[in-house]
Amino acid sequence: MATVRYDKATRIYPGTSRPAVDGLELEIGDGEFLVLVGPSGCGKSTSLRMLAGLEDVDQGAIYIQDRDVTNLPPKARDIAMVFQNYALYPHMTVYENMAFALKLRKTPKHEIDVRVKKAAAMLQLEEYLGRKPKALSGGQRQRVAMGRAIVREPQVFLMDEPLSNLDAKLRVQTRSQIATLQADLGITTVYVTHDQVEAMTMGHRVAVMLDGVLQQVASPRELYDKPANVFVAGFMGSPAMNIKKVPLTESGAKFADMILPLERSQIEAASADGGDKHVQVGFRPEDTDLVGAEDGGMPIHVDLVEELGSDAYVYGTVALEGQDERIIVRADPRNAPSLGDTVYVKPRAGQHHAFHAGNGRRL
Amino acid sequence: MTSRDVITLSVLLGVAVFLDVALIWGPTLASVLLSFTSWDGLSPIKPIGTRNYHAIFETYPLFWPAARHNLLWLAFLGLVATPLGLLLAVLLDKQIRFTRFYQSALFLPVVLSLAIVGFISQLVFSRDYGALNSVLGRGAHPVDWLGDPHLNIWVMMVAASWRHVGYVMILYLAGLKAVDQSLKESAAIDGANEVQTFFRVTFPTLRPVNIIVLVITVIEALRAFDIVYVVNSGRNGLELLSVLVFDNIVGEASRIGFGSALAVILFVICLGFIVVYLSRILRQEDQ
Repeated sequence: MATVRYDKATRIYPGTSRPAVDGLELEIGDGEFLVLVGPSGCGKSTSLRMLAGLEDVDQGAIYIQDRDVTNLPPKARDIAMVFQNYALYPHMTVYENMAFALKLRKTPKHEIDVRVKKAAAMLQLEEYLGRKPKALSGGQRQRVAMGRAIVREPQVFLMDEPLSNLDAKLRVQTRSQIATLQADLGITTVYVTHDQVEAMTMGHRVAVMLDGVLQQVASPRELYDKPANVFVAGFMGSPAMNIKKVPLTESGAKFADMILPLERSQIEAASADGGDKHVQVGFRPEDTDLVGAEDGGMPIHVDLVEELGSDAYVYGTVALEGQDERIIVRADPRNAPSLGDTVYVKPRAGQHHAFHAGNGRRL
Repeated sequence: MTSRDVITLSVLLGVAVFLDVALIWGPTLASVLLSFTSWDGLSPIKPIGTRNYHAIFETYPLFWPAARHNLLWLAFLGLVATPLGLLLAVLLDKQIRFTRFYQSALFLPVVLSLAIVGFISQLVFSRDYGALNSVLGRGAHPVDWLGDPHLNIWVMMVAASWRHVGYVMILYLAGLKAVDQSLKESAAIDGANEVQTFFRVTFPTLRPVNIIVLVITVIEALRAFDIVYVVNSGRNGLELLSVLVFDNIVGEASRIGFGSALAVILFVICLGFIVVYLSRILRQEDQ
């Protein structure tokens, strides 16, 4: 068990000028489950591979439990990794796959046996120990990959999109299993995913990356409630937050015919740094109410209704500054509007977010 | 299936099957049958039972040296040339500088026929005008690389390996390129060094390539013919079974029955290696 620290760690792939990971500064506590999330190409996997020692660190340093591992080979870092495609050794049985690392470390045979069987029991793999990976289902392979990491009893678990090859139902099931397992073992875990639902549900803290730069690292709740910038606001949450660039007035943001109130300091900050009398405001689809025509909501022309059973999402357009802009709001599924209707929407008081029109930072 | 499908299938399959039977299975079977006869190609075929085989094993003076040479050839290709090809493939797979150049240079001999390889080896190893003696500065006391019956088989095997190494290398290189990179990474994280990673992870996953390489090595070793034939018609220390087959069937003696018996023996040796290996592989697969 250990802490992990990235100290301005940078990776520039040979032949490129833009860093794949740019001065990453991140501290991960002992026993913490940290999720790295972002769209593809954001540098999350590269960050993980730098920690694993599979990728060079061009600038900066990485520490595991205060030991500088920047230039150590993977085997000297005492980590275990679960790969996206599991990377099970195809010619070895499940047992041999799980025992391989221990064998290389010359662990006594009976101890290997005890540890492999214990891990197999935790993952319900006992009856498959003699099988080759080829003879296993996707979910079983995934568990073998987990088992291979667990028997090592490493300082840090690294997981690179371990659920992305599973079907949707199994993914949800395995998600909670991994979270429970990690809580039981208490081993520091760094988990990479592009799926914001996985990030929200599994991570103690979530680090959001874009273009090699860390955007925000916070608890899921805080990411949801106080996104640090427009990108994080739009990335976390599904369906995505409605974010529009609208004119700034003296008391707030002018959204269609409504004024979304902003605080004095927010208005000042929005005007500074080339704010150009505009501000980006956002509200989540779930933070809205449908109101009557005379209650001062913005009129939305419905062009799609998604019925999910528990919720209904209403997609429509609203005229902002003479242009039709798309808006998504959540509605009561038992009382959802229909196609072609005009509904009136009001963001809930105090539930909207404001960002700088130019740099996108939270105000 | 409609009747149209049936017709299409039978035409497409039929042509292939016909050619296969006519050109491969037919002659093979004919060889086996002819090996129990005495025939000079003109007079009537005379069945003589196993007398050809008795003669080969007991009185034919060239058979055992030739068989020994073939096995030596196989051992040399299998134990020296093939591992060397694998080693080169592993080195080239590391993306060292000028990889492409090495790859082409090493593969080049493969496109040459063994007859050309034999011809080139004469330029190198000839006693009087060969490059090797000049390089070694043995102009005054030249070594007769190709004429010395204790030496020439080794020289020929080196020349044949020149080609075989390139062949094996390209097969393994293709195999190595297809190995999932994350397996190596996983092994590195599990604590394996480079040698352990290769022998315990990479090499076992190359099994399909290993099968092909083994079969090719066996076939190449047992059918070697043209390379020695252009050097000295396969005499004087360069006797090989294939040469004996050719000399008996095509040569002056026209002993077609006898030559067929030699060919059948060659065929059985070849089959022996491959059947044993394949059955072992398939049995593992079943488990």
